[in-house]
Amino acid sequence: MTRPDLIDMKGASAEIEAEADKRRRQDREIALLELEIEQAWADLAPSEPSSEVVGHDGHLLDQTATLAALDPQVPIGSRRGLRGIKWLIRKLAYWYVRFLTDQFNVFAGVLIRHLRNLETRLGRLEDAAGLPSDQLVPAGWGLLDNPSEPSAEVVAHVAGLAGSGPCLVLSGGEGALVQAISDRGMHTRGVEQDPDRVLVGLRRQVDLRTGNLLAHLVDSEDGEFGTIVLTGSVETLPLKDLIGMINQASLKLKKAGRIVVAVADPAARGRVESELGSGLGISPVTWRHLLERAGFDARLEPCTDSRISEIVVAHRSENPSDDPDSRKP
Amino acid sequence: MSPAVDILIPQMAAGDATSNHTRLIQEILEEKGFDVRIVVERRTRSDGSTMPIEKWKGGARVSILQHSIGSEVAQQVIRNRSPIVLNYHNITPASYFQTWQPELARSVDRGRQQLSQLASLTRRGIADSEFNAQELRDLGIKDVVVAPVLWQLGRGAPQPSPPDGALSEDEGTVLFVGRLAPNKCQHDLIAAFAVLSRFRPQSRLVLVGDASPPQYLHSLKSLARRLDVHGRVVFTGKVSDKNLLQWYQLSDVLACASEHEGFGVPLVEAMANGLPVVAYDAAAVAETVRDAGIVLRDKRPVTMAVALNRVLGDQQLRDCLRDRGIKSAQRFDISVTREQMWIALKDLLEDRN
Repeated sequence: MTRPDLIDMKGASAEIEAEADKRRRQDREIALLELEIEQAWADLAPSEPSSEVVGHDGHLLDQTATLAALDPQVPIGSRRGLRGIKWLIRKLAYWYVRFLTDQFNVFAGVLIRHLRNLETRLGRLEDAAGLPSDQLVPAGWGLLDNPSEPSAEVVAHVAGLAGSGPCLVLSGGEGALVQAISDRGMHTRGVEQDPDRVLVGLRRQVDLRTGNLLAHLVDSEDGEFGTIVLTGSVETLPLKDLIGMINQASLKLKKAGRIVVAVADPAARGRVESELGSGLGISPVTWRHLLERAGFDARLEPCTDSRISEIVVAHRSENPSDDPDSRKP
Repeated sequence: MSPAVDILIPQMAAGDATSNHTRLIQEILEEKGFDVRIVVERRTRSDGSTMPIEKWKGGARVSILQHSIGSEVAQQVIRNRSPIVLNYHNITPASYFQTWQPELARSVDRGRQQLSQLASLTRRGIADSEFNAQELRDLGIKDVVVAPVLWQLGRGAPQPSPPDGALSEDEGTVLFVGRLAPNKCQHDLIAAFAVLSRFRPQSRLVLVGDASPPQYLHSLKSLARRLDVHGRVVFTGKVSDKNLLQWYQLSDVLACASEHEGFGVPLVEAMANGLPVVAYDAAAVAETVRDAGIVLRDKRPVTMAVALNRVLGDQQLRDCLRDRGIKSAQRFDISVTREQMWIALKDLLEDRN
């Protein structure tokens, strides 16, 4: 037994820190609790004024926070007569003003905190939706024509690769792919940005909706789909949107779900398309790379179609904690 | 005729550490036969003997400025270009208050600006700790001495008997004493306590101190509610010296997660009262505690909770911390610190005699 006077406090501190690390590693519940606590305080504390968001006019919420904090302390003044009068007025009013200002400051603090939370949530939504308000977009954004409808060969191939249902097809085009997958007995929904195509598709009696692809994905339930097919106008989206789409798709996919990507390689575009579409769309190989980074096991399936020569099929990795880089050849 | 010593301080307030420190310096110097005048920015009803800064023209043999925040007294010294002895208690960085209380952030910012202007007027710097002393040296002040804050806990109140080492009735009471302020990080203590509650469901956390800003207290209460420990976190508000002594006596361990302590009076008070200390290593904390407490480099909730659980559960460690704490606190006994303060001022006063 160690004599109390011989205890090394630095050693004891280091031992405690090591024990805490061990607990974090071994007890997942404790580690999660720590994260929850940090998040709880992050939600409650007013956010730091960020130098990035403060323009020359200052951030509106920061200005409001400053203006909303009343300070009932006022200088008394130095002249004897005036001091006496001010002292009396202050004494009479102080207790009441202090009470009111405390109430007001707490109220304003809570209000501003909620506004900041709202701002953060909107920011997250904007990030997830890839809204182009604060990012550089490729020059050809909106100029590149939407890809043509998939050939019968691609439709058959993709429908054969679809796993379990329900299935979401982004973008659904005129609904050929949605119909082919539905015909296999799987509940399938398509989303298409072009209303004219949706109109054509509706004649096929399939579930084809109009709307923004990523916004539709964001609004879906977590773990809702067994298969998500990315094709069509996905070919003309910038990289940031595609990364957002992969992140969202991985959230909305069931545990054993799969992602099927059927897109043409941008390197095979003609001159006009390449110039207009610079920075828009990525090749199947890059899709595979990004999906692997997101924790999927992805492979390329050859396809004999003239436009789409490879289809990417990805399902969840058995061991998601593995470093995806270590799986590369 | 001008007195021998002027002590300049923004305000003399009851229960304020710098005000008590000032009174004790006054006592020391008056005992040594020097005439002392206290000059303030804001006078309160209880200090009729003080002089308002507007009337101060300097002229004393030694003017001591108590500096811990931006103030009109410091501004007057700068305006008059008066040579001073700068008694520095450190200034909390404004970043801690920016989002909570912007007007306080502006005030501490002003204090920092004044500090750099005061450097050229300083004949000698007196710092509470080596941590504070280094800050003064970094500003170019060459003559800097370390003399701790003068205070005497519970003057007139009966001194408690040292605890017998057994835990209080429940599974342990964790105490922190200090203003409820963002730099003191009571939120980290509540976070650590939420984890500690997993190990010791009947333990409790006592936070002694006034709230500044009030929004911070509101957030602390919300955090305790959200982490489901609100029933066992006690906010006492400001307490009398007598009650403070009782809290030290009733508690089992003092936990400190503060990120900015120029000295850390409660750490010494706890040690003096035989209370083990678990503290986060920031600013002057390690210097004040030395090897009489558990000083952690990491204050994440699990680390703090493991440390508190260890201290609460290990009688031998608690005994060791108690014995070392009592011994270590003797460095700051009023008889010792009074002498240190006198030595720090002696030659300046006798110089002009």
